[in-house]
Amino acid sequence: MHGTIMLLMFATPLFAGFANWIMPLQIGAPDVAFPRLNMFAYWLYLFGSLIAVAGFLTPQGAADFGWFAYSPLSGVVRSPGVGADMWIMGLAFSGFGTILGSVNFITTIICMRAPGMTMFRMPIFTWNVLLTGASRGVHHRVAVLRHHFRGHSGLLPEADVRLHRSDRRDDFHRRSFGDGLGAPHVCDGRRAIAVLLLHDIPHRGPDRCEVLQLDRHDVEGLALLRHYVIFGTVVFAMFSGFHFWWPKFTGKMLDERLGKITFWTLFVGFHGTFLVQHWLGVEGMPRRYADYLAADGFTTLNTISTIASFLLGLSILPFFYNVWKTAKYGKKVEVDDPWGYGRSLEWATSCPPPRHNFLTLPRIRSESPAFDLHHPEIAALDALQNGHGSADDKALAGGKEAGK
Amino acid sequence: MKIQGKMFIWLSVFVLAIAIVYGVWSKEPAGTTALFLAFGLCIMIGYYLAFTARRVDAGAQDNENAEVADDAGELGFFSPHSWQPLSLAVGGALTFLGVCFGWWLIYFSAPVILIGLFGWVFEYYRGENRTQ
Repeated sequence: MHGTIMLLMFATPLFAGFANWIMPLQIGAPDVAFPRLNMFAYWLYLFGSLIAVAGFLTPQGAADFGWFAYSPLSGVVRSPGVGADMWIMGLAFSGFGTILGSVNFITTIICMRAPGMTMFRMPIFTWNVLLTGASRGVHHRVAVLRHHFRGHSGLLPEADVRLHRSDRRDDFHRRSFGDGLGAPHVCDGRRAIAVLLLHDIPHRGPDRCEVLQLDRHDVEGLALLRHYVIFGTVVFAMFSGFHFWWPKFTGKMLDERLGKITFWTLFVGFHGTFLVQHWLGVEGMPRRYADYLAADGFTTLNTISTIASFLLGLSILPFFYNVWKTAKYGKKVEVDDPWGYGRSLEWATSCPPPRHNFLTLPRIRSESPAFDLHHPEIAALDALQNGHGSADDKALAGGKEAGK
Repeated sequence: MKIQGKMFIWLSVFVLAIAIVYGVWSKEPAGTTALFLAFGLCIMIGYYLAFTARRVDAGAQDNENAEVADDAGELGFFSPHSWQPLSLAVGGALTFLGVCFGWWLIYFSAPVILIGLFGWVFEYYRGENRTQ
């Protein structure tokens, strides 16, 4: 359930939330393409997640076969109880929400861009939304099929790492799909690649070892790398997104000093918790072990990890204080772009945006329309240096577009 | 839409190549089936977009030198606030729970789904949004 909540109930909807807020602004659209479908997708996510989590209220407890639910571990023999069924049905239900949400995002990006906002003038975030949407649709089906067939082909659960590694075919299978599966579903393709690449590392040595003792080395790395990659991307991206777009969401800038405190406590806590687990893994600490002997020599690093994880948890407090303080004492932002050098289109409308996002749209001649609008002299200089476009366009065309 | 259609067609070509390589290499039916289905989905979107692009104008959004006025006029219709999706989702959730706890739950979820569907479909035939 930890992995399920972290990936499918936190990271995925977090991404969908940011996409809903920012993506239409970035492409100059008045709204998303299908507001109703969007709302429906949210309710599917909410109820699906509640169904999966409600397994905790059943007598046998919630599903405890991990977020990957490998067969046959997730089968009815090894995981009895209705909690497992609720997990499956809850995720299937919220998965429909994810697919419908992706349909909405893709349609919005394909059909509702502002005049001049060509595909290659879209900001990287909007591209992420598009690619994630496309991969979600595909991967969800892959996931369902794979789980279904896997149950019958008698492949092994990840829990038994030793056996798992002796099966080359399965290993190939898992590397190519297993670990990447959840990741694109979670957020974006880059992370999927990162997860795949990083997961290769702990495999490399032990893969060739036949001895059980050696085989179990750095298995901790498996659990660790997932957290290192996912936490490092999702949570840091979440906080940076909040701090960056807070004026766009609410019309008030978050406090800079508190933001820095949030970052540094988060950063130190994050590395203190997860980085040391790399070394624990190298020393031979297996994953999913709740306890160990003093003679194992894992105590120091585990102590560091535990202390740092408290710091990590506490780092949310300055952020909450910041939100409260900003709401109460923050000054209203009067300009479109409080940062001064915002590039993408969301900085060309007021903070927060009016109903249907834009009162006037700027003319889009580069991938930085808001920057061109607020700093026409630099845009003009850029255009002159590149010596391109008609006389009229020279003033506004950005350098990157000159070659087209 | 031309470029978007091309993007999905390129993607489908890529997925097809991967599906063949994967199928030959792993000799494993589940992933291979899924990859071929993924190819089908990509080519479907790609073909639809390319097909549509031949029938409509390129549009201001794909024109590098477009003016804001090029898209002047009605932008589209955006549905107003509604509770119908909630009703439909509650019904759907009950149905999914029915799979866990017993099919009898579906007797209770069916009316909720029907209310949601009916309300959603006939939303613009009655009430304050009748004229939309």
